[in-house]
Amino acid sequence: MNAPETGTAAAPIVEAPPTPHHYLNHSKGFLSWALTLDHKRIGVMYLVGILGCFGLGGVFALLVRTELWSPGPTITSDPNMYNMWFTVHGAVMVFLVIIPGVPAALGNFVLPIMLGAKDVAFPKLNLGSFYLWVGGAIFFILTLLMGGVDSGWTFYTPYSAVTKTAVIPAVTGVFLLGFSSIFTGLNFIVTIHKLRPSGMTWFKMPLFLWSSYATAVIQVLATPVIGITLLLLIMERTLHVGIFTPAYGGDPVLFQHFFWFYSHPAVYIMILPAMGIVSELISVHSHKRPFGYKFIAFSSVAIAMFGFLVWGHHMFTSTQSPAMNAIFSAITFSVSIPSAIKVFNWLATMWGGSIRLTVPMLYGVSFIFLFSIGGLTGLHLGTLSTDIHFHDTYFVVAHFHYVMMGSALIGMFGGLHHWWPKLTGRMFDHTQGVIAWAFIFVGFNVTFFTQFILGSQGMPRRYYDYLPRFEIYHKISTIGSYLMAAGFLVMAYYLLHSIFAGKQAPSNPWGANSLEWHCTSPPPHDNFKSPPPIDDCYDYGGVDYDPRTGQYSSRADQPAASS
Amino acid sequence: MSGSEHATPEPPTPEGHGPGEHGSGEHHPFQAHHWDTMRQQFEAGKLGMWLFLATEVLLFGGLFCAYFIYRSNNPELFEYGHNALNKWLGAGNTIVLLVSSLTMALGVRAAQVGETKKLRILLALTFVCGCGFMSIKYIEYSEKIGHGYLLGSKFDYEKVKEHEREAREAEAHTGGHETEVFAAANIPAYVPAEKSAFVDAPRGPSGIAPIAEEVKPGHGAEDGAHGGPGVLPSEGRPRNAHIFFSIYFMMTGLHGIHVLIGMAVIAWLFVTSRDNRFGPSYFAPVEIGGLYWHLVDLIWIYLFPLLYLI
Amino acid sequence: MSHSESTTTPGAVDTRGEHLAHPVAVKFMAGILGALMLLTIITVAVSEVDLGNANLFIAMIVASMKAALVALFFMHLRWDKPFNGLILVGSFLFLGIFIGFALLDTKEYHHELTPMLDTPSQKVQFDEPGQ
Repeated sequence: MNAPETGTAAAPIVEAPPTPHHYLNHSKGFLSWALTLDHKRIGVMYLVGILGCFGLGGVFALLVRTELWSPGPTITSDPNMYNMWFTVHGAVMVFLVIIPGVPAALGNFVLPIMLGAKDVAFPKLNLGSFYLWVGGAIFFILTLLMGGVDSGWTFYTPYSAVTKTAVIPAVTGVFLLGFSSIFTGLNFIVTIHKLRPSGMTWFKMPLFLWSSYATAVIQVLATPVIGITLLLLIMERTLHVGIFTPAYGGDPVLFQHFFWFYSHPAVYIMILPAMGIVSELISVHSHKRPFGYKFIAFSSVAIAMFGFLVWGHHMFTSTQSPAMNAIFSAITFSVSIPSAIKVFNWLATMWGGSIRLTVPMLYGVSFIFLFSIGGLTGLHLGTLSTDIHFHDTYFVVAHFHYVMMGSALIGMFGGLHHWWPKLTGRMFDHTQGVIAWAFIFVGFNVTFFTQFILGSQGMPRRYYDYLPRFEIYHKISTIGSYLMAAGFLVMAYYLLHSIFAGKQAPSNPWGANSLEWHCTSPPPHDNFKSPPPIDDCYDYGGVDYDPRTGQYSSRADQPAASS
Repeated sequence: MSGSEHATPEPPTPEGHGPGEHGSGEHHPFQAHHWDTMRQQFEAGKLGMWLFLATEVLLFGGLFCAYFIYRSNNPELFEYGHNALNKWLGAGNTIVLLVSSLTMALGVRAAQVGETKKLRILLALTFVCGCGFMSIKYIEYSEKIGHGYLLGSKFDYEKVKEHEREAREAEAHTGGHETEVFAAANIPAYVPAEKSAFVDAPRGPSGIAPIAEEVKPGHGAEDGAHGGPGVLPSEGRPRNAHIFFSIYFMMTGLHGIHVLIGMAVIAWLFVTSRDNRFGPSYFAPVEIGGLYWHLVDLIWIYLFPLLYLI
Repeated sequence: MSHSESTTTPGAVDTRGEHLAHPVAVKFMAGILGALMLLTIITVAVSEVDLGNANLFIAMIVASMKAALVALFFMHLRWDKPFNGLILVGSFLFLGIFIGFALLDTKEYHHELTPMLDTPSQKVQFDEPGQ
């Protein structure tokens, strides 16, 4: 079960020459990173930034949970301070962490190598989009320095048009992040179209590439609309143009249409890449070909397309017309079809496979469990009658945390552990990984399952104070959040520790067969010396486990591996 | 953000040869190392530009959405607003942009066949057309701003009333001659008591401005304004007239910014083309920059009738 | 259309003998500009006549014809890979979904909004009662 990590048996790492040349030591100095066009380095820079922002967003989450420990003032007596905390938590997590998380960090690193390509299609654009992300992050920090923003991450008008807090820097930051996301998506579409080797047909691509492609389509088509929406909001605040604010003659429901036309598809920008990762994780760590490859592939595309047609389900109680409510509710239910196809195919993939509960696999399996809860509770919210009751309660908070964190971020951390040996060339400690996972998984469910109960009993979201009868649930939820924080601290420790003291990673620690496992860990600067042979990336017949070294070797790479 | 940025050539790396290359496999000097052929690089650049153009369509799309929503709910705003715009300046702008599109397309052709001199002349002509467009825009904007037609709370009701009164008087003098500025014949007397919409609007304790003065129907207009969409209040100017000018300035302003970006791209192409680098095997930057310029034209093709004509 | 094929230039060739360029005859391009100008005159002329709602309809049809001319010939979609055209059409399609649904909804709820806008302001404003 844990052979790849602990079964060293003092065997030397055969394929590692003393100082192998790879992308990390290809060149040195600050500028060699700051001006790099190498997709791997850009991916690593994204990863560092995104994980840093995850820490920042996490701190605000802990502040929110701590404040809710008891009714009335707990750590702040200023309710507006509480408003800023949850707004900053939401905005940082959504725009700076989850949306760029998988595509820009892990995707940038893995996608070209999976294609056997030397780089993404437009390396300069890739670097440019990284700096747009940095610009967005700087504007967020500026927002914090200017006293924060309290409109909620959704920036709903009319409040966002009149609040005295720093809406404009926050919105400018989101605008820049939007363009960063657009350019990443654009790059990926062109890369998959034009740098896919001739032997790799669409249906020979790893499933991660299918979901990345579907994600990129959403990024390109939906994100410009949030761009113009936020520009209009800035105009509304500064010049009172009268599009979104009733006081100036505008229509606030229109803002919600604008906002959700992007932000609902954005939910799929967050979840689809994680689903792609899970498709890889389940197959690789079960050592079994994905069940229903084409169904998983097409369901990604179907989710992307349906995603554009359901935005109104965020607006059931916003005076949206009954006719539109009915239409959006009906289409919302149909999204459950491709989602369920994925879940059942993952389960069928595991069935009869030789499952290894490695740390990435633990996250993969958690994803299926948590996503099922998140998805099924979505049906309660997509139903018009029940949504009237649940709208703006902790039920919604729990639902989208099961999807955003329990699925999208858990999937991202699964991918991080899966590709960590490839990224850094080091193995992390399996036992500590399992401990961290256990804390996070248990803590997550303690935190958020309680909130389903809270919400169904009528606790509204975003409230600073609450009735005493909710106190016990809030206390449980807060304890859960501390458990999660402990888990992430352990994770940070062993991942950082592995960089400096971890074992050398073999080129194929999990026994996978897609192209990124055919180059060394970490990959060389050019990824592949010569274009790699394209074979079936889910054919595990040619990958052998060597009990003596505790490692996998691919027969195709045999001459190189045993030299 | 210039679209052709990603087509910028990278110096060829000596070790970047794929093994499948011909023995003579000399890379074109502008072929980046991760592409196998110039064709692959060219088509990727074009695909990337088309995707970028799709994002531009959706970026403008938000403003078009606002336009159609407000037009369908408040047609009187647009009835009133388009009469205040000068359709001949708009038509002039259309012609200038269409001509510039032709010169750009011919420029691409010149690049394709390697006629550098012709290419540079055509790029210069396109740039001049861009300048022409912006000049007409400047004349138009300064006229509007001078009469107080501005967006949002900058819309100056006093100045606009003054201008409308003058226009009405001029019309009376010329004996029913149709002025371009105001076709509406029933503009009522100037009511000095009416205040500018936002400047004096008091703010509530929550910092939210109450419904502006202008939103309240005038005395005589009470019935007319309720009569359904399309009914002009008797004073001749519909309430919330500033919304039309908000949409007008934001749409044409965003478009103007795109014209400026397009002109910068063309200037960059003009500078880089001096060393004869463009020819049959390498013209991607011209082609891709051209695509961007044509999109700017394409958007104006829709803006012109929507804002100026109907 | 036959003009388009009438180029006499040898065609663009890259280092490996592939055709990249598709130069289009100058006369043909000038003809496209002529058609665009004609359509511009038509759209201005039609706007002088009050046809009610048909004005918007006609103007959009004419504008779309002009846009099609620009996209097909000036932007070379006529000779390009169909996928590039699909991207453009797709972007218009998704824009249609966006505007269509938003318009459908505003049509439905606007009649509830209008009376609110028309009532004296104290009922709609956000001030505390008694202000």
